[in-house]
Amino acid sequence: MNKKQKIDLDQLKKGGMVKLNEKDMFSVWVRTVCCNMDAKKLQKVADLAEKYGRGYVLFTTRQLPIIPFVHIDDVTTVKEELEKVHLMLDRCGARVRNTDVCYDANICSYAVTNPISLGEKIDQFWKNDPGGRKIKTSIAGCSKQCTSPRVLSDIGFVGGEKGYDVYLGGRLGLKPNIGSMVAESISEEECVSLLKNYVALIREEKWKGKRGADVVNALGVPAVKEILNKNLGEKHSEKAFLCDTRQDNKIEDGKIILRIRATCGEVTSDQLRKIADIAENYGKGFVHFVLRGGPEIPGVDKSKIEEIRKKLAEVNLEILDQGVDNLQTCFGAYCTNGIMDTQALLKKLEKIIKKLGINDLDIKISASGCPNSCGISHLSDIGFLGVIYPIVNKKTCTGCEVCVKACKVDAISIQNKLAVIDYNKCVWCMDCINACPFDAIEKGKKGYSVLVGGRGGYSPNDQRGGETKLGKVIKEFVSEDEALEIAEEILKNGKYKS
Amino acid sequence: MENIKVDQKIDLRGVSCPLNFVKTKLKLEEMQRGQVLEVILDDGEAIQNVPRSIKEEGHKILVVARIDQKYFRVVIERGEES
Repeated sequence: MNKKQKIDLDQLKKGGMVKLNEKDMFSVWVRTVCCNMDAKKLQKVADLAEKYGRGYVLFTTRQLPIIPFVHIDDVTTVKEELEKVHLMLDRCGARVRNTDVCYDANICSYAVTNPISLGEKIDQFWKNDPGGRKIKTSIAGCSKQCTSPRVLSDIGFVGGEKGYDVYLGGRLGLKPNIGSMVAESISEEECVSLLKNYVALIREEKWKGKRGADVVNALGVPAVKEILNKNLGEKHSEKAFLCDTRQDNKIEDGKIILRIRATCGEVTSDQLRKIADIAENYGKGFVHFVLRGGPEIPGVDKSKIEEIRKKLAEVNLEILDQGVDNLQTCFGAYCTNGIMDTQALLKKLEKIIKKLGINDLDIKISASGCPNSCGISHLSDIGFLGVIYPIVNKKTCTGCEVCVKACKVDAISIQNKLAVIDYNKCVWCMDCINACPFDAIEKGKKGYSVLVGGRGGYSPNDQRGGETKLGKVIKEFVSEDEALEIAEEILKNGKYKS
Repeated sequence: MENIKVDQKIDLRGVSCPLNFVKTKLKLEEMQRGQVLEVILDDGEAIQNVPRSIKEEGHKILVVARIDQKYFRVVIERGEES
């Protein structure tokens, strides 16, 4: 039998495996429940990364672990091995995504609602979902919005004293958008009803391939509000699915959430085993996956911090209690869409930050290998996006239209059987270059765009303050060296406080 | 119509990503180097992704042509042993 036929076609169809930029190499996306994972499962992920990957795991902005560089022939084995500890692959593509949450209200002292409780109800609602549409949801238990629901989700729920405020239309990517408020202070049950209304709307044929942001833009906020707020009082009888790391009691006094630095979200198998071990022995037995990639261990006693610091140092890990917030990226250099090597950039920047002696954990910096911004570059004080200039080769272009379809910002048209790029519309991603079957769109100059002033949530207490906002581009097509110089300058004079 | 001798055909209308890619890839693996495969693909996600991935596998895309409103015809020459 042909070896390749062992590939689990059904699994590929459902997603959870995304191709990387090396031949036959995939990344395996492991689903988390309430964005947590217990020590035993983490050990398994660490072992699999070592045996079938390259010995490290990525803590990603989707709040789940990804094992990069698994060969296509091993993908089925990895999936089966994960199932042995009740782990599943995540969903991706035109599918409903995992609901991203912050912490159980019994763990986080800021939480005013319990995101886990709403998350369970939403997951229950999705249980029998037929798929076919890309729908992202995320929940934050307070206005700090650590999960950035207003930008990172089609439907984002933000907890307040009287219930959830709901935002529709958040997205990053090539056409970033901050969601518009469509409901205020509603209950968990009402949130599920609202979501149900949204699903009914987005499944209409005319919205095929569209996102919440497109719906808001086309219909306007008042009309969408009316549709989404119909019959919110409807009861949902389903028994809620329970998060296995749910906390029934308020966390004891003196216990904290221990944050660990993991630049670029990269954690080696040895490091991950150590983190799992610390979670088991000093915490609540599980690790929380956050947007910015630094692994978090809730329930650690303050008095044990120095002891843990020593244990972490054995595997070259440090506690995230100095410097700037965790430097996060997307797949960067490993991605099929990656234009720039963001891992290299951020590792150099980390050294510069240490040299400058900057100590402000509110400073958030992230980088994305392309303008899709999977590394949440738009939500950071300083953000970087890899960019590239496409040039049509008139001799080899056949006018086949593939690039016209691939372009998400409608910057390409076919004129006299040739592709013509409107550079005023182009956002410098690599979609047309990659999509062209004849390599007729060539790579021009490439570099970084530098953004400043982005913010994922409301932060009343820090100097930047204010609401969620998207970073603004201050420079385009700068080299890695220039990008580092600009970042250093911003860090020195505090100009990121836009 | 261009003058290319097609050795095999595969109709992937209605087959979603990445299954359409995998089926194309498996078909090409059954063929000899230099032989030509014709694939019918859906407009949209399929036509954006399949030619790109097949090209990355080391095969050569000879033709991409719209058939009608909904489908594309892609002609591929099987490349080196992959």
